[in-house]
Amino acid sequence: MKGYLKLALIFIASAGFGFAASYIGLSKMKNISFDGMGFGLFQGDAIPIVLMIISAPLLIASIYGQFRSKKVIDEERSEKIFGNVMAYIGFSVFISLIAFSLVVLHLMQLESLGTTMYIVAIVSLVLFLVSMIYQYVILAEFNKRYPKRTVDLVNGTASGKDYVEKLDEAEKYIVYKSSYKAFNAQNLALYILTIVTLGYSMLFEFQAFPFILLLILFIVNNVAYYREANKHY
Amino acid sequence: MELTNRVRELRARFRLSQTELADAIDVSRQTISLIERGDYSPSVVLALKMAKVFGEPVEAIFILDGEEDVK
Repeated sequence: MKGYLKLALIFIASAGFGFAASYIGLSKMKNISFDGMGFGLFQGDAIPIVLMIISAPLLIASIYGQFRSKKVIDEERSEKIFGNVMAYIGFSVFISLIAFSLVVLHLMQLESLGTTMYIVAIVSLVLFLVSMIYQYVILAEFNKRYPKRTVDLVNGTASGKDYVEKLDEAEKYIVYKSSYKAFNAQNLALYILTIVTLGYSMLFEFQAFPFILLLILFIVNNVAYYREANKHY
Repeated sequence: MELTNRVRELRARFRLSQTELADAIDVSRQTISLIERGDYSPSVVLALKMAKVFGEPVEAIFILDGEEDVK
């Protein structure tokens, strides 16, 4: 019951925030000039800038964390820091890639982007490339630290069944526990996003494609899970 | 019923680090850490391996709380 209440509150708060932002934004539109400021999929949309700003500290944090993990004497603490570094660099790669992709998408729609947008494009591309290279460095260090459970340097941690087979029993237990949590979180996110995109498609002139895409992801996610689970009954 | 263990105590008595114990029973250091914290209950095989290293019976290392209730 508590979970449903929390979900309902998130829905209400998000709807309220979205409405307020649109209302204020629209009422002030007349006074704002968006010339040369098309930052995202819409004019004045600053999503790529926000993503770029998030990506940069993540990259810095992972570089700092890697050096720190080497200096810390306590093995457990050092491994924890290194684990965080792996997570940060993974986020940095994806976030900078999304930032760059949004700029490219905008470039395909408009003839000119304006100086700010070109700077965002260059910085996010540089961030993406540096993050990619650094992720490779981190994975190489992971293989050096844990020679018994090396990861594929090309595919990263997603090298599938082989990687799980290299883990011992407690590590497998942690992976299963984490995967189940991730599955639940992913399901909840897909569930909410599917409803939101369906609502937008019905109420406004949004295309139905995002809704269908999310629905397919939702179905694939659940079919894969239950198909595997059914094998063991 | 909860499973508690004396792994940390025995490891200290034998002056073994988590890494050394992990190497002796062919698991990762994280596994030893998880067992010591009580976040993971080891398999019979792993429990027997630990018992061999410490020279103690398994039931002296892993204790089931409220064991007297089990018939």
